[in-house]
Amino acid sequence: MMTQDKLNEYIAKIKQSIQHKHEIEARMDAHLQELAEERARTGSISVLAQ
Amino acid sequence: MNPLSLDAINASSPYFVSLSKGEYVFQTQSGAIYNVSFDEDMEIAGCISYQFSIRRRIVTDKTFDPNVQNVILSIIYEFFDKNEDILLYTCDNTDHKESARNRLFLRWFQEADAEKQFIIKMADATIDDQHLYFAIIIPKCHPNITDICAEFDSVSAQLTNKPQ
Repeated sequence: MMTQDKLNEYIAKIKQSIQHKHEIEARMDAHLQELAEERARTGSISVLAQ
Repeated sequence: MNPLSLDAINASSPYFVSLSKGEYVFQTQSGAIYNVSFDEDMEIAGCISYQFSIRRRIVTDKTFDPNVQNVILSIIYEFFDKNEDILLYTCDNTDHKESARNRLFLRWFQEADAEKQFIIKMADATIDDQHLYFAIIIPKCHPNITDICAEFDSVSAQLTNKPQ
């Protein structure tokens, strides 16, 4: 059985991780927005050119 | 994190995958754009985990594309080929649809018979009135697999049984 202190430490880490996830998703959505704008402007996405 | 080989990913991926701003990007036949990311996150039993995230931008209502599953699996397999680390997935209930979509990757992983090579552990708990969902994927060859599984099981059991 994990001690309460250790469990509290994990709860804090999980909360941080969820916050981190929101930040990552915001960054990724901004990136998707840029890619979509590039495609609308040029007809393709340069990083996906083979 | 060790860099992934785009050549290796594209050898098995149905759609061409590229690296842009540290994220793995691909576009589907219907025009949807996806990005996939691995970001360093919490330590579990002293071992690094990487938060796995998938986002997408759709242009049509035609959202089901079986090829997407194979692209995502190609990227994850390449991640584990180059990194003997823990893959972490977390989400909360702020966007039910997004959470459900993201959890799909775990089901894909299970369907792909990946459990021969990996251990997949899932848990959910309510913390501060927020329902949280978390999962880890660990390669069976990970040197600390016993400690990681024991710690994850202990935390998830206590969080599930005792709302915080």
